[in-house]
Amino acid sequence: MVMLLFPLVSMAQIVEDDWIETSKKYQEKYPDNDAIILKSTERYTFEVVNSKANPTVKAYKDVATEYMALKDFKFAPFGDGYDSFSDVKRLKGEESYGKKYKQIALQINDTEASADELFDHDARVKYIILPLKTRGMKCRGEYYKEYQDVRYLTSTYFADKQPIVEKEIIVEVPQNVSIDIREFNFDGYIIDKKIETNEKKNLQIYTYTIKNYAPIKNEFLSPAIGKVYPHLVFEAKNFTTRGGEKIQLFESTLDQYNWYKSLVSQIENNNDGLQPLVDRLTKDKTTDEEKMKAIFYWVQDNIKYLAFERGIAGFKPDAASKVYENKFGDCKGMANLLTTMLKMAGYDARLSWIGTHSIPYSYDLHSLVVDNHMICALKHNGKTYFLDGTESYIALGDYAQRIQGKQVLIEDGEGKYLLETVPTLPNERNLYSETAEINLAGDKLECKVAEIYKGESQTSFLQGVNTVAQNQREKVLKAFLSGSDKNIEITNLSTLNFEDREKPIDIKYDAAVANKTTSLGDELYVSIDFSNDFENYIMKEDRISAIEISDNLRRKFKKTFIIPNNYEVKYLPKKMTINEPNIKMNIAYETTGNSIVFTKDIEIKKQLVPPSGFENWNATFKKLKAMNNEQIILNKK
Amino acid sequence: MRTLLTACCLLIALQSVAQTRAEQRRLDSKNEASLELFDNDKDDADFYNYSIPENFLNAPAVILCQKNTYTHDATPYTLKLIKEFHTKILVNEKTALEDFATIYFDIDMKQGDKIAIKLLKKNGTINEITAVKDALKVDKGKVPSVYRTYGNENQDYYKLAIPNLEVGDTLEYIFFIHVNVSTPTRDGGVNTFAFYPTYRYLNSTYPVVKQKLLIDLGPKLYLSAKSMHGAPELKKINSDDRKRVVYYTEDVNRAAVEDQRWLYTAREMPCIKFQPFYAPRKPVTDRSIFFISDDAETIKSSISKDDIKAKVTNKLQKPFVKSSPAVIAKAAILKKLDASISKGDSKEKILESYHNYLRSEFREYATPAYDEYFLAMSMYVLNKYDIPFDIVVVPNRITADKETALFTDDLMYCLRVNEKFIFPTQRNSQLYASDISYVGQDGWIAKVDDKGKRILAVDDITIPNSLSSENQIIDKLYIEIQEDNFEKINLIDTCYYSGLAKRTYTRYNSRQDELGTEEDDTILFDEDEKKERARRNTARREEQQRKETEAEKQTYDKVKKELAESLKEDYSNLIEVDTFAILNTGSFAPNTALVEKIDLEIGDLIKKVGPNYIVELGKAIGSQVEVKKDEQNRKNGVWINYPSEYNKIIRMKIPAGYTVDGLQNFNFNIDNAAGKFTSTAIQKNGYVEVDFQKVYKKNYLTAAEWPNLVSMLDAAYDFTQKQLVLKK
Repeated sequence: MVMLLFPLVSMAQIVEDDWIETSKKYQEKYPDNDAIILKSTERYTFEVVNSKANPTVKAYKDVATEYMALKDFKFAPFGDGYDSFSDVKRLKGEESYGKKYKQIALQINDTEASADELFDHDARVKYIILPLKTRGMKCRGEYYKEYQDVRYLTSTYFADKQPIVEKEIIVEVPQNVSIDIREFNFDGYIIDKKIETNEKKNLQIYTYTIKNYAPIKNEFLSPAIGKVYPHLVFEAKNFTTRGGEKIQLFESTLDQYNWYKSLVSQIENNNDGLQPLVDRLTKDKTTDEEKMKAIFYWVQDNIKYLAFERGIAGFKPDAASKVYENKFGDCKGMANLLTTMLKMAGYDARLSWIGTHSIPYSYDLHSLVVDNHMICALKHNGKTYFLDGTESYIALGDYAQRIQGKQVLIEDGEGKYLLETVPTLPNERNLYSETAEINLAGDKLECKVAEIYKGESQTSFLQGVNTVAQNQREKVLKAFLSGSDKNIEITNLSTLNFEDREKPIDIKYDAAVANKTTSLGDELYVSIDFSNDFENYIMKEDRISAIEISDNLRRKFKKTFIIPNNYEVKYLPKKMTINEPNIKMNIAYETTGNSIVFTKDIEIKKQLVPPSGFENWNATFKKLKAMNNEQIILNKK
Repeated sequence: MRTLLTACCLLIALQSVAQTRAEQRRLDSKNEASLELFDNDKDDADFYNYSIPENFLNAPAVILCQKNTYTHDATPYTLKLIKEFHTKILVNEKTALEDFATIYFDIDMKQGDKIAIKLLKKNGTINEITAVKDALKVDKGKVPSVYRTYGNENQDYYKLAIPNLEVGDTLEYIFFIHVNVSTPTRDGGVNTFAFYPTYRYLNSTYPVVKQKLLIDLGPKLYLSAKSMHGAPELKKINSDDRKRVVYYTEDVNRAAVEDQRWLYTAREMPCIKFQPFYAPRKPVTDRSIFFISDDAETIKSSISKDDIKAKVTNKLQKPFVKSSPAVIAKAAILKKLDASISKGDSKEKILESYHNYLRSEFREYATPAYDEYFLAMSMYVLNKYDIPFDIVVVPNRITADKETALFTDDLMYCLRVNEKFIFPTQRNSQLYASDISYVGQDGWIAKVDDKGKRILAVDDITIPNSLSSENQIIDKLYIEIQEDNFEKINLIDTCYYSGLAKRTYTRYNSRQDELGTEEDDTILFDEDEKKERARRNTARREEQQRKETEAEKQTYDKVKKELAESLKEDYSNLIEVDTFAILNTGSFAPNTALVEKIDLEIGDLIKKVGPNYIVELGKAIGSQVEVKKDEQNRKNGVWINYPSEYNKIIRMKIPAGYTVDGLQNFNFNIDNAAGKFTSTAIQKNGYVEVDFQKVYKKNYLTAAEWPNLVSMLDAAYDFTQKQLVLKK
């Protein structure tokens, strides 16, 4: 069918003999890819716009990319994203015709970028589909992208979804514009860098070249691309107008802060309607902590998170009164509401900016790429509380893993800011623990279980439960606790308070577990640990992306199996201990009186594992899996 | 905060190449509607005084009242429908806020559509939602089913965040949506025009205290309608305008429903379906096109033999409907169809050839359009080669039976030739092989005269049901434990599929497979293409050959990848599908099985316990249905596509130096009227051999028969949990 989409192709017209050999060579190396990029050039240029009212610097990105087909009848989408601050223009495609190229008529697709997590945004994509009709043929695409303001030009990456033979990034900085080019993740890559001066045009030209670069691959537990892939970040510092006036852009953190503040100052806050709410929430509270909690928890519980990222709304918070009236808002609006309400209650609350876990930068980088989130910093009795209104079911003083250890830009009046860091909480914060007493009843295991969830597991538990209707909760909770395993029947579930975010979740229940014992003559095989912990952490042998563990994890089990009177222990699995800097595991089966006590304690720290660490990583988790599979053997007396 | 989407969106968005043009995202017309829109129902007490039944009080939200009014009018050139949907919902729980904090609607204000929304706060104040102009366009696929309206699929959908919605509030909204169809189906001399059929199901994901349906018909409009499965009947009510006819019904205290496995919704759930027609001239003469009442005062609620006769006569006399896809390619297809038949062929061979040709041409699942096409093409061949036939009409098993069938779209066609049925072709269908949409269905047979021109009579008929023994899946599983690594096992699965199972499991058949011939230029290529092929030089032919081989390889890789994905549902620890081969496509006779051979590697079936190994042999058969506790009690019937029989023969080589214990755990024997599950395990000549049979005996079970099926399913599930021990 695909063949019918292309007219029969005259090979001689479009493919040179040596190209077929080249494509065969790359197809062997990259069997999953349809094409390679033979040569790609990205050229960045800048232009000072000497408008009296609003002098600015425009940025332009010229892109030309040459593809070679590795397979027949494939396509190469080619284009770029744009938004209210930028546009993609003169997008065109060409195909090879012998050693020449001829332009082909291609439809320009203009579609909304996929961003399901956002309610409203302006990110769009313009692209063409380059036809790769036959193996070895070449296609070329070109376009240029215009940024209305150089501040919205943030970063560029060397990587692509297709393998690259050669890619050049050229940045031509005119004398009247000051731009720093910051290099990230260059270690381990051979990237040639040249700096030249074109005195005639008053340009400083930076040329980066990378060769033979493998494609991006999205795999389980892949880190955010900014953390591992080489890229450049543009710091637009200042420019000089024709009249000689020097205009600051983001020369310093203060400049960036001032820009954010200028947007905040445009908010039309009329918060009279909020005062009665603040009064009501704090009326019966006696301590400051109680009052702060009342406001923080009210915002968490009553304001629905809906993300708005259209134009300047992507940076400018909504008025607190609007968020309150709507009962929905994005992180900026929720931070503003929280800050406003706390101020009204008499506290020192401040709007703050932060890059979450996926952002690998700190505020020594002066670019809009440095943060992606807003929260409220509450200063009280010499301590700073970082309040994230978009979180739900998180206690005052507790911090979601995604902001722990991240630098925060906090407002501190006109022209002043503070830089602080969200505390990193110990692994214990995310403890999940399970204790159980297990008795054999016929061929089933009867278990009395107690589970405790803290930290991330606690908040995600509460968030999950609170999305389930009351009349379905018991059913869903039982399914969750049993892992939807038909063999596990849960009864006598303890009553829980699903609104209390300040105490760990403590669940108690009984479980009748079938099909975990096998009776063979006098022998009885019993599986006590059926958690299958971290078995999906064993990575495929052909993995290429680094592994990122984004949360500190701690899981502890203690299960006591009562040995039936007519049995004795024939076999217990051996103890296993792993003690590495980022991973600790202690698993043991021990006989104590008439019982077997199984203990398992696993601690995995937040970490980034490069490919050189994969062998050790897999060896560790294979050992764990072997322990997960173990069973005890009893013998009839 | 802005997440610099544009920097990354290219990587994301370019994965999809389906979308095209830039679209206006916001509603650009001013919404002139306001709370006055609600005035139409200001005297309707059900929107103000309601009593919520006790068993609804713990629901996360309750639909207090819902009124759907369909007002139909027509001129000779336009069918006009105004849908007025008025809904009032009490939000009881925070969980329901997610469903109602954003509402979705499909309106076009340029043609006069209107929407009004108000929020009744729990303190009694009323908030009018005026931000409708800020509604944002949304992909249809992202619209929750509770907001979807059907029969208006070209309309854009918008979403709007409802400000200030809190638990305890009541949300009320009203939509006026115009649906104008300016060019109804019109084929020379036809003077009857149909509105879209509408299915109004009464169950929702939330309980409904009261729901009302009004069907308002202008002059010269006729109504076909049916209340099904306990839905209340429509009644004619007085209208202020004597030229109009209005039907009304209401339903009270309808409980919420949850999804169930093996349920054909249209066969069980309460529903009122209706379709108005415009027939400006009397007497109504177009029953050959639509099933329509004799007079505008009477609702048509069933299909008669006369209707069938008129419809089938029309199909016989005008097999190719103008504007249908069939006509567009008719001449070219008929030419190729003729070319697929040799003049000296026997009648049986002719039937086989044309059937194979049609299945190669249309290889996907049947649709009504395709059904029509099949009939037209078949009659062309049968008449041309003087093969007598009758036309059989049955309701599609998934949507209706003879009692509830009402619309032409409810019906499917097939042929009876020499007392055998020929069903519409699809991928890997065989001549005379049955079809899941037809089996066991009662319908009508229209007997055709020898010349194939006239219907002699219409009688009742029942399509024979399919037996489980006709639809077999036989798996021969050979398991080998890797000597050097007990963690991995190789599993070679040779699978035989017969009957209806063959079509379900056909993963790939080339067009050649369907045609049942060697490549034949006269069929595959038109004249221009043949000339082009003849003109090619050797090098180009070789290149073309390479491309075809490459295309085949790519298809194979794709099928293998899809197979691996589907096998992951069976084997959670699938490591790799090493090879996959179709040993026999099973394309050429009903009793020829489709045969596949899959060589795969799976992990985690073997666990080391001390000096021994535990083999979870039960898991080698793949995952089995897990009937959860809350599924045990079932009120609805059980609708299964077809009866079937699964036979698995497992042979596992016992590794040298080991003995086997625990085979007795694999012996099962459940046999009842609904199903059967038997299994025996023995040790023989150094192998473990397990014979396993699982049978779904019927394609429909009453709710009372469900426990029988559950006992079979539970036994099969228990089998997957069993293990044996290899002892050193």
